[in-house]
Amino acid sequence: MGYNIAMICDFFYPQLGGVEIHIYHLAQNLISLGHNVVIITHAYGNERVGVRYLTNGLKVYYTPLFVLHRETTFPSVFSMAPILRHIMLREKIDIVHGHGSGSAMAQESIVHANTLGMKTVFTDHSLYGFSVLGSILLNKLLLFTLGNIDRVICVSNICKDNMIVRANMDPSKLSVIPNAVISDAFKPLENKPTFKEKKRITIVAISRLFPNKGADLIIRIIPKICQQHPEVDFLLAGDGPKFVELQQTVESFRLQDRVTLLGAVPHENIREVLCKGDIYLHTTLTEAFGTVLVEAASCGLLVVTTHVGGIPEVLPDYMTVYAMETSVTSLVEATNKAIELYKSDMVDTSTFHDEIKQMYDWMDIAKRTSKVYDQVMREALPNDKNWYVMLKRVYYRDNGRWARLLLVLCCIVEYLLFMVMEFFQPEAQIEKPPKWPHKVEEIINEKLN
Amino acid sequence: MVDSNVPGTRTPWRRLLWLKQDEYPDNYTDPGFTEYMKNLKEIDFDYDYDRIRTDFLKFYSLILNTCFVFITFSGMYEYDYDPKLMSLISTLTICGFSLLKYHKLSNKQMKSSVIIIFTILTLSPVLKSLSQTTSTDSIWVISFWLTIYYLFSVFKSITSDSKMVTMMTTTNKIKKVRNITYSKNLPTNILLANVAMLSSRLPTTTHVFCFLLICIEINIILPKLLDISKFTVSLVSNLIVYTYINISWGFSSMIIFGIFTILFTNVLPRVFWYWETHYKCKTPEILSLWDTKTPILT
Repeated sequence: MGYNIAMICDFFYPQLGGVEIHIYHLAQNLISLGHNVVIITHAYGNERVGVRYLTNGLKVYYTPLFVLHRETTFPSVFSMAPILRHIMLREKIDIVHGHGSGSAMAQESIVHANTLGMKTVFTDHSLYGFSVLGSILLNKLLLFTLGNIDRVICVSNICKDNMIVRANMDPSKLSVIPNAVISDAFKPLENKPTFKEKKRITIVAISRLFPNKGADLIIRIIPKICQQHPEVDFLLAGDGPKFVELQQTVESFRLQDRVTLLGAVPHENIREVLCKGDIYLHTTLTEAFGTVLVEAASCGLLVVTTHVGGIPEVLPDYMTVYAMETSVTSLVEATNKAIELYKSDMVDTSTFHDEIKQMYDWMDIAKRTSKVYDQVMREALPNDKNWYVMLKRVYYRDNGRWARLLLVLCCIVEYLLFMVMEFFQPEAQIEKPPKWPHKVEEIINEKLN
Repeated sequence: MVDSNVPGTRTPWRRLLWLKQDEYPDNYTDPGFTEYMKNLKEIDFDYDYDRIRTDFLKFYSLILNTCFVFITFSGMYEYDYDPKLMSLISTLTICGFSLLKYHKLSNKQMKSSVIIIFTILTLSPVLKSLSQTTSTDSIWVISFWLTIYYLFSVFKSITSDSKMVTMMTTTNKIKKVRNITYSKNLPTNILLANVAMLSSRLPTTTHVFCFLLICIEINIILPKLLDISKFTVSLVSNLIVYTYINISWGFSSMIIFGIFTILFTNVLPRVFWYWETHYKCKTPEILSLWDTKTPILT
């Protein structure tokens, strides 16, 4: 019998991004493994409010919470407690799984779930430095929220290293489970013409045009490559603050015929864009995982990328050409190398798709995540979620003289709040809805086993 | 629980996500990273307290020096002092110090002084009428913010060189410090803007001329001739400023100002030193490890 799992994050459908897609696919595959999964997020607009069902009975709670900035709810320690407590008890949740350090809901829910004595798991999707004020505050918050966590999942090894340091975690509590791609959705074109047939090369780049994604680099690389290789065209997807500058560069170098700017492209059309290209160019300056690289390779593109963050861990060397520095010169050199490789037919990109299919698969990810849940359940100590034990752990986690007192105070208020809520709305009085029935063959399989 | 960190006869672990390494559990920690963390050298920050204190004193002297703008202004605006007499005193003082420092004034120096004086003369009526229509409250507010801006810009311009040296000696293990040069023209311009704003509230063009002249002499020329944080100079500045505060705001205000001065020159440097020495990350190397890389645009 599976566990009752609540995935909690500020970011979910209808918004589409890396984290959202991760949660959706992970939830779907966990359901196929026999778990019950509900997703709790905040309401999107006036229309997406309340309880919705997605494919396979994936239940989504769109809770009415105040959205502060870029779809993140207002970070307060206690304000979400009543509604989250109600949903968690109603769904008889065993494990609460929060996603993303930037999500206030995920962090808060972990604190509340611990108070309710539920097991907690957290997945981190990004890297955070120590020099920006925002990151410093977030790291401090993580010290508190992850104080009593059972397991943390990181999407890459560098993400794990980062987490060990910034949240002061015991490394054995951190598992590395990468993202995956739906390989069927990223199939290469059949009968794709070779360079000898079409005599032209298309370089694709898909990136939000922000400074941290290396937009300044790509703006300077394009004219150089176009000048050196008359047979090369560019196809760029993505929008952002650097879009106008990119447009101006294209115009001032008179490259309108050779550089196509698509603007923002919805995720379902990414494959179409990728399939039009031969080489994928990625100029990012920070990256925890880089799903788009896997998607590009899956579509049979040779990848040119910077060597930052988790990127070196993601793809085998023969699928990528690395620029060792985040400089224009280094990236131009790497692109030149990739163009040479492609022209001379030295890389066989047609096998990439099948290889990627073997490497990254959501079912595999779900099984590994399920293993983490098993470990959490198996290794749990009887007084792990004892309020006094948790309070002590929080106190000794932070060395700050004032911070630790503040955190302990937060915990005490939290416990009092839950006692009050238990008085006014006892757990026994909360209605428990029936679970979505699993597919018949699964039930039979279960019985047979 | 599987003990994840015991090396055995299995194939060596590789830091790759695409490779299925079923022999190793998902919570296996990269031994390279553990090693790296163990071997990190800890830097003991040992800041020179005297240096910090000197910098604080320098800033305090600057505040006193800037106070003269307002003392001169309120002398003319509030107490109707004779501007001609005031400017004569300050001009003579400056001339005296110049002679002391340079022994003989060169032709070139004389020429530029005359040019500046004539420029001020020409500008005085313009400055007087420039912000005439702006309300007095707005003038005070603008002047306040310009003064704050002036204080920091002038402090940056005089201490940027020494600050660089401090950073190099204390954290010589970190990469070389970027050489930032602060423009010395910026504070001068802010000061003049401030004076120009205040000038519009003075009664006659003569007042404006004298005010401008005194401010340039005391705030721009004098700090070049003398070290304003020197004991004697500081003592004279303190005496003038405190007397002024006593006369215009009263004794209690002077005491409050005095308490703040003691806190600023004696307690704050100690707190700052303690902070810098004890609250800094001892392994600054790891701080930038996960930061967004800087793009090199060449």
